[in-house]
Amino acid sequence: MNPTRTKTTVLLLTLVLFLVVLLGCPFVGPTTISYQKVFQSFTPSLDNQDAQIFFNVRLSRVLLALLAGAAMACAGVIFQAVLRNPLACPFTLGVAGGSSFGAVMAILLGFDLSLSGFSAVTLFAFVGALFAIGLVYALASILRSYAAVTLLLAGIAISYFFNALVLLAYYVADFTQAYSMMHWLIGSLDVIDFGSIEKLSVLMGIGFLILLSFSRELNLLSAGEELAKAKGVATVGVIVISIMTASLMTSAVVALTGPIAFVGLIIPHIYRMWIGNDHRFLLPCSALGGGAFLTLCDTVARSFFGPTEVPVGVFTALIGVPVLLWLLFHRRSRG
Amino acid sequence: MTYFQIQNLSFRFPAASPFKLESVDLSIQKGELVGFLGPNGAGKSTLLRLMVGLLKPLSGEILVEGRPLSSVRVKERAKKIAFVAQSTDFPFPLSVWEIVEMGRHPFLGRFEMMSAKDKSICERALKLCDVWDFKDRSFNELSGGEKQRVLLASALAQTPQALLLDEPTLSLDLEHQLRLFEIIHTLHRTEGITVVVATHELNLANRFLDRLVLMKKGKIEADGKPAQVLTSARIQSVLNVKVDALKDKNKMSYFVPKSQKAAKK
Repeated sequence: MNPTRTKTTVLLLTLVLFLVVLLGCPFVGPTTISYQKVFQSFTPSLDNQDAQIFFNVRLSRVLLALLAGAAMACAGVIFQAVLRNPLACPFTLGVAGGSSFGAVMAILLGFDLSLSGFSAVTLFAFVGALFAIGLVYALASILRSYAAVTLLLAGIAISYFFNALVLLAYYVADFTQAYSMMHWLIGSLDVIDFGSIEKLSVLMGIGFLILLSFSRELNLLSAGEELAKAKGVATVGVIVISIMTASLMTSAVVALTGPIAFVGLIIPHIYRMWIGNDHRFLLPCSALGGGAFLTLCDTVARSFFGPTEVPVGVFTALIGVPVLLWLLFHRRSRG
Repeated sequence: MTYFQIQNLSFRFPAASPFKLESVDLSIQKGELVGFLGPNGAGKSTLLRLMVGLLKPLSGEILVEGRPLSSVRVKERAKKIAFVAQSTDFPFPLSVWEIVEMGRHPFLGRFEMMSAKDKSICERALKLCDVWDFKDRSFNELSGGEKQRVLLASALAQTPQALLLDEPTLSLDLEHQLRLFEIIHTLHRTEGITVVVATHELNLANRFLDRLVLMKKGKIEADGKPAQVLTSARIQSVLNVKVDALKDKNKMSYFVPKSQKAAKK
């Protein structure tokens, strides 16, 4: 088949999957709700329990999962391309370490403030993530090098540093605090209000368009910095803007959900194996596929282990790793 | 008309490496077909990279059509000057077509798609470099010589005024070495492209190029028509190899290296 047609077909399939997940997953859960009742317009919404569950509990969570998965998968694509490293993920430059540190500090110090609907943990996590990325940039600009190796090393060093601080906080915390910290660190999704979803989706939409506008430059950069320069890419500008955008998107999401593992690493690779490395298709496919994947994982995590739920971060790895391995073997057997 | 004007150019790498280029002066006319020859470490590749703007000179200046290269924006520069480096594997392989498409990047706006004209330019470049048949294959699966031809096609897709090549024949088989020099020659003849090629191929350079610049240790040793530059004595002093010069029936010289052992006797 014509390769451009393959890429287009996969993109359309992923879009269908995304829509099915968006419309289908709110119906799945411990309480069964009926399709007819949800959209019954003559019952006042306050008395319509099914509609309450569908919209306020499940749909908001599904939307958060779709946005979070999309953001992390996109950021994964960007970090892998710019750092030219298949092992890179949205957390490689310290976002996870910084936000975790912020969150555990908020829990440890017992802050109980909230700002425009966001909790202290969320706010601290966001600030922590920005601080970590800021440190990586400061290091890179002091060294006057935005080369992949410099950024990678700076990012890993800063991640380890913050992880050590997280462990220290965990060690001195009491039992309930330690439980909250653990819960946050695994990464989980919660019900949030539609106002926050709205703000988040505007941020994600803008970020995604910026990244998509760089897709040709990313093709060139992922092939090599010298090649990119020779073909007219202002490499430093593209590296800084794309990493900054991807980091901001990840920070915003991680502040709400905690560092959910594997989505940002595995989803890009699944699509790389399927359609290749053309970022004009890889970015939208990963965004839609990442959103759908995280939502499916979260639906499993919240539905089948009643009365409790399992943090989704456990499932992304438990489901994602076999899928990746299957693809790896499948591709090898095809030659 | 002068295309490249290199004035008093100096360069060294930041690390403590002994290599340096020192006060190089060179001017290349529009439409000239020039070869850089010299032993490893002579500075051929470095000079090429300075001329494309991939490296920044320590002092001195490079003018392109009278304008300082440092004042030309990267995208504008890529519309005029194309560069072919030696090929390496890509961490995230692209298809041959996707790589050749990259050559159109400088001509496209942020969200602009390739037009029919862009596509036909790519198609022509692929066919000219004899890589059309595997346009849908992954770059990393190709042999070294095939990769080199794909990179040349990608450079030609830039429809450049000047084409700079760094040892392009290195991993090519005999047929494609000859073919590459013929492509260069044709482009030069039909479209008046300025070509600068760093190479070790004495005989191909002698046969196809208009002018040779012989370099050693970051300095220009000789510069002129191939027949004037390539003498057995000079080849021995610069390249450190004794050669026999054989003449064919058209009085064209061919250089055959003598065995080092035999030379010592």
